[in-house]
Amino acid sequence: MTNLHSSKVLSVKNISVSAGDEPIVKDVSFDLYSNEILTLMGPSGSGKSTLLRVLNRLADLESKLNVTGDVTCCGKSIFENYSIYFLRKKIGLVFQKPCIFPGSIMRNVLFGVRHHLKLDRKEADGLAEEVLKKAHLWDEVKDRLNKSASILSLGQKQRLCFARVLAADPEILLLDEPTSSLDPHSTHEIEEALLEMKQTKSIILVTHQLAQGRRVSDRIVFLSSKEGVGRLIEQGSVEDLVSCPKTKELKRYLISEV
Amino acid sequence: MVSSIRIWKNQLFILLVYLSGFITVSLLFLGFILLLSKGFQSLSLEFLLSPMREGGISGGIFYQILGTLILAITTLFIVFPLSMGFALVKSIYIQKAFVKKTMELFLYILNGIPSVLFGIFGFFFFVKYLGWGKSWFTGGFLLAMMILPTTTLALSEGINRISSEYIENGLALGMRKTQIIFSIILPQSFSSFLSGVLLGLARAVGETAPIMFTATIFSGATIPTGVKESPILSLPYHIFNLVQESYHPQALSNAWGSSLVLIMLVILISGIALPFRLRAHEEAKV
Repeated sequence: MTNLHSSKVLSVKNISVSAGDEPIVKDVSFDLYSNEILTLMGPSGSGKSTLLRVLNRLADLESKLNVTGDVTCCGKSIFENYSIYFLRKKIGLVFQKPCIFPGSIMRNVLFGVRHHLKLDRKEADGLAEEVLKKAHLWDEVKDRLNKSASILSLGQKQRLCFARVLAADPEILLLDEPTSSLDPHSTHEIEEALLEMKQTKSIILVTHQLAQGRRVSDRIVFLSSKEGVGRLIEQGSVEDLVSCPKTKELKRYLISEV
Repeated sequence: MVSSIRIWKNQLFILLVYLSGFITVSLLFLGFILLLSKGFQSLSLEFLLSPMREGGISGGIFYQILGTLILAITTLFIVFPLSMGFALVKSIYIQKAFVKKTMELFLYILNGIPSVLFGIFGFFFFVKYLGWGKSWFTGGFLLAMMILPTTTLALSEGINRISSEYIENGLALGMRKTQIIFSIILPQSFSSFLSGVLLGLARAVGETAPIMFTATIFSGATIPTGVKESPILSLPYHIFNLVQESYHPQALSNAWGSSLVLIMLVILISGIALPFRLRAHEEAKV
């Protein structure tokens, strides 16, 4: 549960996204508090991934996308008061499909952070160990850090991507269906890692799996697609939303997930 | 059920593919065997290491080899940054499709210009107008212009083949564009770029027309001492002149020998670059 004394770290205010004249997401508002896991849940096409890309400004890459509304991080607008590079370091994003860069496991872990920090060998080794432990991967790779990362399994690759994002020490973690193609063991490891990370970070998780949402979330934001446009339907604690859904969209979604 | 006509067509197609491959390899092989049989008898340490005498009828081709190597290295040093810059601007920095297409069209047009026109342009612009005179630098610059399309398009193709996931993941980690270029884009496309540079360089080393107006003379040059007005000897121009004197058996024999050395130089350049290409290819693999 979100602690009552938690402070607001991210505030999404009336965000709408359109591609040219075609609206994709309309008027979505929610807050993220410190040390909580907020799950964005909803059917395909409801704009969950698009929202995540807006939050660390990867949506800026797509010239056709037009974003209105505001997102504040620690009280400051992410569109006006942050350098895009600093923002992406502060708000880390783990993608649905693990992307491994050519080279060793060690190189992959330090891939982003070595561009932000000057680390000597000892510091780099220490950091790699720390983040691999946080990502629940250390025990599986500690003897082959200098071997190619391509030999890892899909689940291990995803945890490696996790570790790579954690190495930059983000305050907020965005996770775009990180376990959608993983086996139960890897999914369990990632969920365990998320619950541990919650002690120091705030997390937004996009998932289709209601069971996963129930296992790890403090709150759920439910989005649904109406006439092809993603809208926020309901938000609240996991218990409230699952036990007494107010809208027919959420009821339908919950029935389909059972 | 697959009809017998379809099977027959399939077999015919496979046969034609093998036949074209065989003809291409055979022509290359026959050419090399002919060159080896005619040119090998002229080859000796003295031929390789001594200067030309009596207008190429006797002596060796030491300064021609040196001049050709100087031209190749100059071309390499000029074309490397130029094509890298051009390809990066075209593929990364320019966003408008129209500008990209125009730049690509410019490269294709440049690629289609006959080499003799490069020579004439180089003569009037670099040698006369800019006053560089006949020089190894002028020749190297002109050859670099000539192979620029090959190297740039090879690098552009390499960049276009990079998965957008890499770039997106790099950006999501807070990396800047220049960091992405040096950490992701160039390492990933370097193997294609090196292949393009090798293809271009192999062509440049064998070109006669552009350098005969701008860089090379037939005799009298040794080691260049300056940048301007500093001509060199070169193998392609040497061969060109010896073949014109081919009524003399020794001149013809030396022309075959020089041709074999030229081919060996091209193979040597490719051989030197091969480990770098393989390493770049290996490093780019996930």
